[in-house]
Amino acid sequence: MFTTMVIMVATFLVWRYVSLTIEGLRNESYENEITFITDEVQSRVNFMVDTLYNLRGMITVGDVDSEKWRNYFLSTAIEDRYPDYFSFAYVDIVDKNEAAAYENRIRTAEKNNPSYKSFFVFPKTDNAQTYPIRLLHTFDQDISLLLGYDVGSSPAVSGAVVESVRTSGPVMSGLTYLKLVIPSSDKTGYVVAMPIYSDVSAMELSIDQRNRLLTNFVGVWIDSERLFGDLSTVIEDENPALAYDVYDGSVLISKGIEGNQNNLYEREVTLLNKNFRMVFSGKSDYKLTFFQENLPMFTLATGLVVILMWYGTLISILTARKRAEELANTATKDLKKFKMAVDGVSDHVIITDSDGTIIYANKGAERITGYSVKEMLGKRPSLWGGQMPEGFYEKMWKTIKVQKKPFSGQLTNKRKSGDVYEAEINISPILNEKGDLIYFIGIERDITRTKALDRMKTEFISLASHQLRTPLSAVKWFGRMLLAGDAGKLTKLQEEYIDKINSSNEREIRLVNSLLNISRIESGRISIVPKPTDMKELVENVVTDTGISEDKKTSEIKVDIEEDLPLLNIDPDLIRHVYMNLVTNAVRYSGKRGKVNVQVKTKGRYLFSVIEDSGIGIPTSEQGRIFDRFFRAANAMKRETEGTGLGLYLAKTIVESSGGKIWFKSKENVGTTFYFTLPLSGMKAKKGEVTLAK
Amino acid sequence: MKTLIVEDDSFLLSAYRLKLEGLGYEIKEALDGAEALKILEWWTPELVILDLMLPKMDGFDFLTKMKADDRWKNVPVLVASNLGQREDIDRAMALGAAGYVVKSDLSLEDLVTKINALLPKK
Repeated sequence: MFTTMVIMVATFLVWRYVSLTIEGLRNESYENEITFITDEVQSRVNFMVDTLYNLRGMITVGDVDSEKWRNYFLSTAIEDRYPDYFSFAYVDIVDKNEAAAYENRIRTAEKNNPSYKSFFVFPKTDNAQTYPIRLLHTFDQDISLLLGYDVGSSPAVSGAVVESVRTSGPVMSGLTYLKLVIPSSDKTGYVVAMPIYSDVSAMELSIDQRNRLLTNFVGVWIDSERLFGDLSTVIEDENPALAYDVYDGSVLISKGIEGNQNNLYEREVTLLNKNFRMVFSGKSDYKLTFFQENLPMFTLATGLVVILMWYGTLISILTARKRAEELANTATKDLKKFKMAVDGVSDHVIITDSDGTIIYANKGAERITGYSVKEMLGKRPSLWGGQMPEGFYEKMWKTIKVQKKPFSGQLTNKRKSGDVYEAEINISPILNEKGDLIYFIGIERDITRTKALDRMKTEFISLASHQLRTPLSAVKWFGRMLLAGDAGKLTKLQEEYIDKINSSNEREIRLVNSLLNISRIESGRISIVPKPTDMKELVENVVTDTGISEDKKTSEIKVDIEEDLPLLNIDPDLIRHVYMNLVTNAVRYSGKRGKVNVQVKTKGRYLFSVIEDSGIGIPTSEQGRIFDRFFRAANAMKRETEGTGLGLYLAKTIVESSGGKIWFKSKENVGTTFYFTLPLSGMKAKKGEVTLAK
Repeated sequence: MKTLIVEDDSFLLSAYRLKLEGLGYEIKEALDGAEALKILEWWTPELVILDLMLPKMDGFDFLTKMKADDRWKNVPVLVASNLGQREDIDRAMALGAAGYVVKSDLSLEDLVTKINALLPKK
């Protein structure tokens, strides 16, 4: 704002200065022109006077007649310089009563000159002396009529004449009106009169003595307009700045100013003995050079431009600053958000420098390690560590510091209170653009409870599997021993009964196995150990085994496996389980005269398996629940009561964990077809703690 | 064949005895690992059938201690347990078990077959 003020003031001042300068320039050119003009007028008068002196010189030497007179003017360059400007007259002094004789004499002397044919002195006055114009040099038509004119009859002229006798020099008359002599003429003018003496030495005499030698006068007349006007020869570029009026006293003798008078200048001009007043007015169409004329405008314009540019710069600076501020704000807000987020997570988060010195720790870290943030800053994570074998820390450090790679693992730590706890850690090295290590970020999660829970689950599963299975094993063994005849030969009926006991027991064993598998799967503890597997072999084995175990209900099992199947990186135990379940089901529910088709082929990125049977099918109303745990369709239950309802659930879980999909098509009493896919890229290894039970 | 059976379930023990004695085995029983070690002190079997879930000292501990003792570290141990987890199997095998079966999965006959497979000489 201040700067704007400054610029505005500066612009104003410059404009003012420029305007004044321009005005000054204008004034200067006015002054120059005035000087030109007045000088020119002066030089005209000077010229007139000079000529008069020359004439005096010539005339004093000898008498002058019209021819000599004429020749004189031809020899001068007057007409070149001031064409038509001046009229020169040679005036005699004649007594009134000698006028007639004088006229005769002149007529006679100039009889060869037609102009003198009717030469006479006029007007006739009562003056004792007359001063007739004997010789006249003029180009002015009106003036040319004045041959013989008695200049004494003009008060203005005679006044000048008288005065010139007194001064012995040139004297300018007052304004003369030609009208007085030549009524048709509007011209006004001035006469400069000069006395002529008979001897050149007259000037050295006293006035009275001089006057005794007075013989004639010469005079020059100039038109007022001519005296003060027509200055185009002076002003070279014809771009006059001024117009002017000239006053002789109060009489306007020359008018130049048109319209309004502006920028008036007055000058007193003294020509010989007369004063004139010249009034100059700036011509409205006078122009300095375009540039000069418009300089003030330019200045203002420049000032405006500067202000605009200044504003522009200011705005862009402010905008940029604002943007920067906004960015900084956003960044700060984001940073605050992140800080709050990190502070608030329940996990332990620390940041260390490249040497492992802690520079930041969040509340989670406080809570988990038991040390306050203050206590942790400046120290190293070993503050709560040291519970693991040396090799562990070495490996960790090597990974993050030397290899600059993230490290994940589980370790035991010790809280400030001394309590030991289990933690899952992730340490990420942070590198700058050059790849130098600048920070580590360490995240720990207290998994003591999780681990404890896991342990409990493991123990429970172990216990459960053991406790449940042991009695079943006992029944199985004794049952089998009985059947084998180890306790003696059995009756048919006894055999029958024991057989039933055994079957029931087997079912129970299978149920327990399935339950165990499911609980293992659900606890996420099933291990997946993929290895390159020959699918053909696997499937064929499954079919063979099914045939054996289900031989009482053998259907015809057709197997169609694509040739040259690639080795699939899968966990054979798990996948075998899937095929086993599907094929067993197919056989079981198809009966003796049923047909089972097993097809395995590649389809796009997947291994596509189809198990088709001609069995009892799945009723539409129950199809939605077929993969549910413990679900058995009503018709299947009727057919045989032995199923656990867990097989398909398990199969689905395995297939989906492997990255595949399983679905089916079924029509009651016609048959069921199960489809499932396995990605050809194989299964991902998963560290688990359990395998499937058979 | 002299066989030490380490098993805490009485039904299963009696099944073992019935079957194996019927086949001519000489059987000694221990209900836990500690008892088994004590028996080992004065009687060296040709085979040990070992359960894992045992009170006082479990099968793993026993196995470790047994294999640490030069006197009977070469006696083959068949682990017969109802734990079927890979971890358990691996651990037992790593401790020097000669074989591993899950009891509920096989009959005693199968067990005998397994024994025969483990011990060619009878």
